[in-house]
Amino acid sequence: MNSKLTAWASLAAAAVISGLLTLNYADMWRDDVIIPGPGVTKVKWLSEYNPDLRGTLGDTRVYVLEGKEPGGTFLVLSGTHGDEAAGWGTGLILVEHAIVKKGRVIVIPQVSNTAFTNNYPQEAHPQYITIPQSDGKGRTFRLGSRTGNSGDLWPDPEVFVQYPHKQAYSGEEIRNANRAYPGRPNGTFNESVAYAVQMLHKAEQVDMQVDLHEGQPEYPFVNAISAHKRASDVASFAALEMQVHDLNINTETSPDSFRGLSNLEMGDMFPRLYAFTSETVNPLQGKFRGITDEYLTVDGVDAFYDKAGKLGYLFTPWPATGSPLKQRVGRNVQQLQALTAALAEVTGTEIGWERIPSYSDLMEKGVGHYLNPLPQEGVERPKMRALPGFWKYWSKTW
Amino acid sequence: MPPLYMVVMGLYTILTAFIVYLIVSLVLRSRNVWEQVMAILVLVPFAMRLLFIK
Repeated sequence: MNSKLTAWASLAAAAVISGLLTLNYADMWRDDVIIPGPGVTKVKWLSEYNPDLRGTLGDTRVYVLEGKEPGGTFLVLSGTHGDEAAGWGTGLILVEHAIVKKGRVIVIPQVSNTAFTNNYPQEAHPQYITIPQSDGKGRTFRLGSRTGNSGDLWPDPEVFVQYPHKQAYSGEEIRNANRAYPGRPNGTFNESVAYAVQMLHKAEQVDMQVDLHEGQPEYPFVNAISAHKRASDVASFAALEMQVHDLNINTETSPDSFRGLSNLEMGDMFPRLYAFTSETVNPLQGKFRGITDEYLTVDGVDAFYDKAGKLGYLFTPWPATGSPLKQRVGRNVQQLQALTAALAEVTGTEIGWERIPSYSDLMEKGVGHYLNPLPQEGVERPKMRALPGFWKYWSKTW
Repeated sequence: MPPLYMVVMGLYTILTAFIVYLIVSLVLRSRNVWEQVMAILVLVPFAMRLLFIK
């Protein structure tokens, strides 16, 4: 066989495979299709609060839902971790379905946009999940990762020293947006994003903030809400509100020794703010899980977790129905209503909802029912607006 | 002086480009077909790294 011919064939094959993988990988740099509902009164960008983010994958949309009556301001952070679908799924329902009557709700569905531009292939995580709708088509979204794009936040240090408290974390936590608060200008990529959130607080005078997360079933802090120490009363009232709907939620005070989290750092920085982090149960993130595909995070059923639940290894009840997305998002939307009711009860600051589904609505109709269907003629996914890593110096000039 | 991480990334990029060059030149010189085919497994990740980890 002609060795020159096979050599060129091998190099060509390598080039084609690299090209195909590039297209596959780069597809996650494009934004998801989000169709704002009638409640959205303004769409902004996070870079309006920190111009350093302009032209980077750290920039993300900020949706404002302003009620007709004056009231407080509630900031909902979701998509801090891209693989926690109930977090960003709740943000999407607010943007696409909810209407605010009193006060203002600011929603950032994908706070850490860079975390949506990569996923965990070695954990067999799917790149996309489809949320079913009654038209049979459903809506497809990126399933990102807990940490940001390596290209934007490379290289990981051996030890990540959190700013400004100098708490030491493992190196990859430098890419975790929820260790970057309060953020700083000219810091790491995630610190720039956190700094933009800090500037948003300053500009918009936020009264209450919640950061929506998920955790694995074998993690002790699930179906729970963590409150900044000044916000414990509000969290306790919210837990009582949740009991009205037969939903148990654990509450804890965010420990001072766990730095860099949004609720602790923003709560410390802004004396008027009541800040929370909440967690639902996502089997996709767990280590006991079996087959890992998009059904696992959407349907939440797993035979290995059934077994683990029976053996008492989990920190949450594990029924035969598992932990489906609709249940987790249902808990979140009910929790948002519980928090606004509790805030009014404790502080007198009112934020009122005109339209928002309840837990039972979600359980009955599913998540897809509260997302707007794609137009019949179809809709094109947004074009690439930024590039990661070194290439961002080029995309900043676009 | 650029930030230290930019210097490190630049050096990694040069190193990666050199490794890709070495493999390509070895593939072109090799008379062993399997060696050439197996080089794909090395070339693809290094090419991806050259393009994206910056």
